[in-house]
Amino acid sequence: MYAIFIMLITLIVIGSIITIAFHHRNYMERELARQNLVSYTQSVLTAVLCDSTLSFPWDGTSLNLTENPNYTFLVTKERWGGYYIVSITGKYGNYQLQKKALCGTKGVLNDGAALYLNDNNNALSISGNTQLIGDCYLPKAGIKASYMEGDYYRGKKLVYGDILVSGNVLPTIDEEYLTYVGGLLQGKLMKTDSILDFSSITTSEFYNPFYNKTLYLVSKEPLFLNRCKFTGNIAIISSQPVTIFPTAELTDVMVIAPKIIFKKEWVGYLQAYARDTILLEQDVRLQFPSTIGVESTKNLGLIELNRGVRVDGNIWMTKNSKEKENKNSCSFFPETLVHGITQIEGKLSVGGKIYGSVYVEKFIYKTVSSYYENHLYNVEINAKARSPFYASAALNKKRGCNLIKMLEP
Amino acid sequence: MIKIKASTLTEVIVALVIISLVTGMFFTIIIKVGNYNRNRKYLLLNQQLLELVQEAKQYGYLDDETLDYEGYYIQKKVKPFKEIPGVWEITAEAFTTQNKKLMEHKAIIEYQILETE
Repeated sequence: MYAIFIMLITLIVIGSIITIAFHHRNYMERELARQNLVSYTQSVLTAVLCDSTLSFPWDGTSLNLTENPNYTFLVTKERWGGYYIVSITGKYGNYQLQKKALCGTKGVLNDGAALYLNDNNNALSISGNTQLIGDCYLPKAGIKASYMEGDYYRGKKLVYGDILVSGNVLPTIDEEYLTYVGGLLQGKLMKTDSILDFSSITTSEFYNPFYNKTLYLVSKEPLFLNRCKFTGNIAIISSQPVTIFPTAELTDVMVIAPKIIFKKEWVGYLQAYARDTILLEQDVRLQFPSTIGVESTKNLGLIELNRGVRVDGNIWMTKNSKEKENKNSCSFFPETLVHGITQIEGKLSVGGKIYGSVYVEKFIYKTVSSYYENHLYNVEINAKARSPFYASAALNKKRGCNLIKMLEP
Repeated sequence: MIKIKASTLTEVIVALVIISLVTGMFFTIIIKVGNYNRNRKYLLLNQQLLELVQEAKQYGYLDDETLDYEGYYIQKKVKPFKEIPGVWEITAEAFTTQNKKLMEHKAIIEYQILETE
């Protein structure tokens, strides 16, 4: 009896040791795989961001990170307005790791020139405290110092950088991006998209992570966004004007409408695309990464940045080259700051500072009694003040990408 | 002639089985403890390789180097990745003192060297 008892105990002990050892070995293997998978996924992300020659979907095998065939990767790159969402799924056996990152293209057009002014046979006149820092593409007629309201140009040099000759066509914005925005402005959605009528929403808070499909909130009525919170992978599309009040908390979302008005002191980051007009009232702050774009088919687009407005991101306006006349116009009032890229296929009136690059057909300056073309007065355009971590809104897809942020599940 | 009773034979067989089981248990424990230590060391070595990669990424340690780690040695090699400025391919390998390669970890990192550095 004792003998059987001892045998039983011994067998249980041996069985337990073998089981523990087996599980421990499994644990070790999983732990090693987990550690390596995290590192490999990060490496794949780095490669995707810096190598613009890759085409997607991509499996990362060309990196030769490991000889173990159990590690597999799948990388996709999708557009989110003017930015990209890179998704990496790494697998080892049953273990899976998914990472998503929001990124923008690293470079800007023409190697980060401060200014590209179309050659419209008019020289650029600068006066007062104007500063052009960085390379400038200017009309053949050149640049000259002049008086404006009795104030002569005060700088020692006309341009603090190289002066290059511009052409009569602006560098183009990425065609694929414009087609994407045009489709949204026309309300073109697929049957497979998640679409919800704005009037059917009963809650004032919406969160849709970028790990889900894009949620399209569609409205046929004018929208007044007030005391609400929309975060993440959400596109608000309205066929009527949208007014955004400071109590509306919008993060990462896209707003698409014919006319968008940001009321005084609104703060947040989003992408706003309009068919006609975008107005930013006093002290509005669009934080990075934000983009505002107007695609006017009738060339009657209007963008207005009032006093105290700051935009960290991109501002663009395109024209329809089939129309004879171009009345697109954009105004940056005094005390505004734009940190990023501004591309206006139309007239631009600048009164504040631009830390980044400006691509424009024509500058205008208005006083109470006069109207001047290609005049800059008390304006700072400084390409060197642009942050090296800045990512543009896919204006130049040929460059590598800058990571903006990792997206939370 | 010695006659062994059936009960005695059973006891001898049982005793032998017990002895073999206990001996087996003893060896199992020794082998498993050995395996445990080896696996643990593998895990720690792997962590060391990952730390080397992390340090290169964080602090810009981009020189080739060889390090001793608890009776093993670890070799780090760095080369530019596809000649893209600021992007590096790091290969960290762990060897025994007999020069037998135990493991390898490869990573792509981005570290911009500023002119002032």
